[in-house]
Amino acid sequence: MRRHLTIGLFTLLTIGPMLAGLVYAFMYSIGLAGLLGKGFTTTHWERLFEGGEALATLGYTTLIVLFSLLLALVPALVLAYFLTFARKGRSFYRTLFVPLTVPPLIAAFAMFHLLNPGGLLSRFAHGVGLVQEVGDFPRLVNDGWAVGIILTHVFLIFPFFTIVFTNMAHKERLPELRHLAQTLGARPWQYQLRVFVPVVLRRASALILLYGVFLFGTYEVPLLLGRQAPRAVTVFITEKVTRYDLMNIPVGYAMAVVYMVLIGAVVTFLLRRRSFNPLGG
Amino acid sequence: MRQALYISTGVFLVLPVLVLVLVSLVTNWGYPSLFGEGITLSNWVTTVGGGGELARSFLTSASMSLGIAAASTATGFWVGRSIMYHPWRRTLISFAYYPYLIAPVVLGVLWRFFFLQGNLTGTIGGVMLAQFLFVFPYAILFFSGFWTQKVRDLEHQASTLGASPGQIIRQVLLPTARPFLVVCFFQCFLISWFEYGITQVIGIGKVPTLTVRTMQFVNEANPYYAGVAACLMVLPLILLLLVNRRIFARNEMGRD
Repeated sequence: MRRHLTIGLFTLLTIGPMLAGLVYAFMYSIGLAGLLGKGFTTTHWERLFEGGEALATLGYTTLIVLFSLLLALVPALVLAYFLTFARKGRSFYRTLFVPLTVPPLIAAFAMFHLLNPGGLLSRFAHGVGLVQEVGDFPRLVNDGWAVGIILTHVFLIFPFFTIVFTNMAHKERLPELRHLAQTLGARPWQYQLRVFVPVVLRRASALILLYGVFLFGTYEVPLLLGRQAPRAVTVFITEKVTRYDLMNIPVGYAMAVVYMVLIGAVVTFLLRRRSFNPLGG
Repeated sequence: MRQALYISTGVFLVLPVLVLVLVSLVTNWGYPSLFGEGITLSNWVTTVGGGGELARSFLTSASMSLGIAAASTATGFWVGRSIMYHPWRRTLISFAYYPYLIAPVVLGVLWRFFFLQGNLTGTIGGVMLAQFLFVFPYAILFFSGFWTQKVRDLEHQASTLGASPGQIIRQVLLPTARPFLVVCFFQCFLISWFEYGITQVIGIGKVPTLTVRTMQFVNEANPYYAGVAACLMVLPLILLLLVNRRIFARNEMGRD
């Protein structure tokens, strides 16, 4: 009996609130709930997809996720390779933990003051004569290419992946495999590309996908370092739902439903994989 | 080449933290000066000294995060046991992934109506409840790595040898789980400490945690005070990192 109660409580605290929120958002988006609820309508969904703003938002967020992951994984693999086989590098390894102490909002704030045309890098560039005035420095934050957002994501996640990859390489006994590969006549690059990288990436694939999901829900970083349009999905949703224009609220809720369904589909796909166990439980 | 890579990466990782410290210590940071009108503690004295507003925010953030970490760790530990020993554990544990992987700010937006109905928006209790609802699933996922067949066998062994349920908890489970409990507590604390989105949406700006205050200062175009608030969030963690790296090491599901 007590076990059933515990399981009930668990369901109530996890999936319950999420489903309640999702149902409410969907009802709101079809005119069956909320201040504008005057009967069933598809108008808000039509408004969501007219003009291409919603699709641009989804595409923009997806590109940010892909570039952030790519730019974080490549240096993480290189550094993990060096750290796996290096005798030195312990003090450097400790430095990798620094970004784990920085919240995303604070990382975005720091990057803003580092990269904006009036920021620290620009001042250094002025000091060494590379730029003469603020306008000469390239725009790296609130820019069209999301450079600031991607760099902040890289700062936040690539050290973590380096730590994880290094630990995985040792767990998978990759140093021993290198000896074996060398004995069998493999060149260093063959070992790196055909053994080290595939083994580590395959072992970390669930974690990488999970980070893709996290990055798709990034909020604070694009809020500070992004542009007004296109926006990240989360910024789009919060602005539509919490700003003063009542007509935008159901559109925001419709986008929230889209986001939840997308994430739900990815998570369900991940959970169906037998090997999915990113926490090692 | 390896040394050059280490050094350049090290600079990339440390520079943003140094920027935070610098911004908190300068005043009138006009371009192109590196140090504005000079390095001074005046921003710190104004906002933190004598029970300043950021000192109060620090206490608010710390007490909220400690409370959420304690509640999530305790409930996650015991509820996790029931789930991992349940025949449907794979299905049940998957329930914990969904709320944890959804962006907290979106959860906040979806729950806003319910919190409004319960008069919980703009209150510390409301924000803590909202944060608990997505930190608790993390604790469950975390302890899924502890409640293994090995621990179950250990419980059976102790029971067969005559230990009472209380003794099993006190003398077997808690000592075995201690490192898990410590790391989970710290990880839950960090998730709550780093949180901005749900706190802003459910707290509607009235619950002045350090992240909320940082954003308010940014919106008020006051980077110096925002820098102080940022340092108050990061520097204690860096000190902790120097003391014990291990509690950060299992941050395998840290989130943005």
